[in-house]
Amino acid sequence: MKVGLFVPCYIDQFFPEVGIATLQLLEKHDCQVIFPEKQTCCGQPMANSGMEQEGKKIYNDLAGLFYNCQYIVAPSPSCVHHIRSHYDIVKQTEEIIHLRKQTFDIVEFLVDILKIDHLEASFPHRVGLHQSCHGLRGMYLGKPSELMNDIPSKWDKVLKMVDGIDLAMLNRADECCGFGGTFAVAEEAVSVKMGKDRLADHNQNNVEVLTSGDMSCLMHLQGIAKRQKSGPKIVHIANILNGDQL
Amino acid sequence: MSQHSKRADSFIKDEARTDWHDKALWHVREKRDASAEQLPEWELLRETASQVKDNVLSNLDNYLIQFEAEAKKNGVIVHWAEDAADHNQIIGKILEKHNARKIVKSKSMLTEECKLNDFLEEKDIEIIDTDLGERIIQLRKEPPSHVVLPAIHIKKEEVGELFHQKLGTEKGNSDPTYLTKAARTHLRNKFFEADAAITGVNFGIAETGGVVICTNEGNADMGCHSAPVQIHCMGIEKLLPQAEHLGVFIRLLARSATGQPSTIYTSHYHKPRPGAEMHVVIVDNGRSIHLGKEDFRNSLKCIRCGACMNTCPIYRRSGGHSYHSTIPGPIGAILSPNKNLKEYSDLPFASTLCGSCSNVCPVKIDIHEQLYKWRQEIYKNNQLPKSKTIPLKITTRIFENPSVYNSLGKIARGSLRNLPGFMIYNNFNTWGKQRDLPDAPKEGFKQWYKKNRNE
Amino acid sequence: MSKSAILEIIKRNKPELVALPDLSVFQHDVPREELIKDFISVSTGNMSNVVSIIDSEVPLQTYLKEFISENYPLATTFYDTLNSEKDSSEVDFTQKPIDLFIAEAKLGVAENGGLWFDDSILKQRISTFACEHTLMIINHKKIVPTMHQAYQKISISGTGYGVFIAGPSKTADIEQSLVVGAQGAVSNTVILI
Repeated sequence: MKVGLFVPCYIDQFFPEVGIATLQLLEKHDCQVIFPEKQTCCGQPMANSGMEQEGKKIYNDLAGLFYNCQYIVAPSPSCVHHIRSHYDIVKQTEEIIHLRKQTFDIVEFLVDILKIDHLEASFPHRVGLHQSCHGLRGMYLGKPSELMNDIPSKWDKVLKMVDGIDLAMLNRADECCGFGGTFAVAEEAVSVKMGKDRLADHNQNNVEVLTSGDMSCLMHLQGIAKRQKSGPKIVHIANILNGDQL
Repeated sequence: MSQHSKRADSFIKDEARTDWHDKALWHVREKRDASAEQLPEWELLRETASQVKDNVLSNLDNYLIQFEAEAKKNGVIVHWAEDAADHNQIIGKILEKHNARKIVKSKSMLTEECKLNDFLEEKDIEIIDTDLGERIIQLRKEPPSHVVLPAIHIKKEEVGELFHQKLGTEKGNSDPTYLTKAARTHLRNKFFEADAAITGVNFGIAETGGVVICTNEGNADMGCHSAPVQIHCMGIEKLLPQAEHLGVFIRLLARSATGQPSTIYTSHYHKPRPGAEMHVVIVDNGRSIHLGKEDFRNSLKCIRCGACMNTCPIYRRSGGHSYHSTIPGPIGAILSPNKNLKEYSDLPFASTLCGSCSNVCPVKIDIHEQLYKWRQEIYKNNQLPKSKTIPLKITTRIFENPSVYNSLGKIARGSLRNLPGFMIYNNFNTWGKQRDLPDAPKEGFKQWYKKNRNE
Repeated sequence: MSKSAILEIIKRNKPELVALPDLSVFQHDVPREELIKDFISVSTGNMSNVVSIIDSEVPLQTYLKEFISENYPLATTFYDTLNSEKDSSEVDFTQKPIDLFIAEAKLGVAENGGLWFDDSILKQRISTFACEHTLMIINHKKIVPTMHQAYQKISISGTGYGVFIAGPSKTADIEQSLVVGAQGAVSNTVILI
């Protein structure tokens, strides 16, 4: 199965290890992975600031790069959600339709497309899962605490396949971390307070490693934890699933 | 800094108080969850309520005509107000006719929106808000900070001091039971002295021409049944087609608002009592124009339960007054730009688009999607500050050009061991006030890939 | 003038007609014992005192007399809608609070403890709000599961005014602390017959 790897801009620049883990995970599950090197960004930073009209070329370029792949996989629910939900403002060409339909987050891809039932990974640590909002409420990778219907969590499903993992329960299962793209700087005070409160919840529940599907949330939380010189270690979920050790 | 972020910044300066505010509201959210969980049909109820409101909005003119006709048959006097000024004038005239000088009012966001209190006070008419929370903020000369819990931002010690000064309670006594009893005595007299009672409306019923009002305190009823004139102010969007639809909405309203299975009193007013007069003022004030905006009309479904405020992580940490609009919180952030895009252009940005608001909304308003769409409108209408658009435009050009993007990242990392500035929207300083930047890796993913996978 | 202007804009701006949803999905039968259990537990949660004399053979009036003298020993003024001899429209609430309101509800709702009263029972609308204490009687056969069934059984416009009352008046407006007895009754007792 030919899979295009989409490594979002901030992962490419700041967290290459997340891209590497995603690539290795796909390869382990017999995917023929291609990585179009001209990729840059999904355009979400502009769009969330109100400037989606400026991002049209980026949308079309991205769609063109992946048109020859059966699936497109990214280690970021946030970017995937943006592509699915907000690429409706450009002409719905075959490339765009293909991209919007065939792009998956890595966890979603493992569960829904590859339908994996086990993983060669062990991670003997107490882990707190940050359910990032776009993955949670935009894509139902977990069950949003507000909703009363049954939604099985894909994040839980894959994490439970990892040997030795001890998943922590949090006081607030799915409160936003406060990153929110440009919100992080435009509303700095609230953003940081939200992050501090999330970290405190993980700390209170003795979390050793904080993980999430979205590295952007983790970058924000890590930034605060580092400044406070305390808090859990931060690891992207792809690294845990790939069997990477601390 | 925007209005909202400035106000939020100063709210958060008192971190202990911010935590207190956050926890109080989160507790209400938890009560809502516990209450909703008990109904297996909860999600179906929400969907049904949303569909009923879809029907109402698509047939609103006919329902209003029907409502008026039925109300008139019941002996109710119906008025139509195009805007806030119109609304205030109509009420002013009713009061003038009855020579009414003392008015009691029960909680109504619509009269807040129309600034009725200011209008009446200028005419030297005494207007007393009778909901305890409303009375507290009225005595403090403040607007409500929440649509259901108007005084949620105030501590009991502050209420104790306020009541000591205004109502003569003991100094230093801040026991909520004691203070509530004092307010009860104070308000009892106001009810019986009142020349007219004014209320908001939770639901109007087109088929029967009546209005429904939900309270826990019984203040709307105390007013309406004491005063010789009762006036109900109703936004055009408050209608439901028939009595049976109330079943859906009454089940959702209090559970969403406070986690109660219903409010203590659910009152249905159709006719004035013998010898008294009943008025309904139907108010547009921009709603009919709002109805024409396809992307945004859904927000007219709002039943003012406040659930989106209780769940909003930003609202809980910035307080209702940070929204500087009549209706605060997520719903306020999508309603207010309809009224004045320029003044409220900061509100759609006071959100991370986390989506929790849309999930708790009992009528399924796509609040976070509308926040996103308002941001686009704000840019189109040139209401984004240059400090934001210029760096983002530069970032866009970089993303459009893969070779520039690749080399910029490499240069930054290689020569400066630094992060490429365009990635953080040229705003190192703000990011770094309370947060570290990630360590720059030796190489980006692309470079790693080139080395390890190509050829 | 305003009316036609408003209606004109609505007509221009409203979306295409959307049909009303089916409400029959919310009809389900609940066994009577369960209904009563739910009703009692919700009413108690709403801070009402609930007393069941469903199985009692003592006539209601006899029971009430004893119950009132036992539970409201200081009460001297009554607004008793069960007693048709007195003309309740003469009662004046403005001078001195009336101690006890007594009435039988037309219908009860298990899911929220709401009891339905309208003008035909209340006579004076203010009565149930202005009395210090309220005593409400409900025939257990008149309890329905949810508000859906309630609205099918009652007529909201039948008498000009009607109200569901689910307990004594309350507020939590000061720091979310629950205080019973805000503007309306300070206590409520429900007697199930």
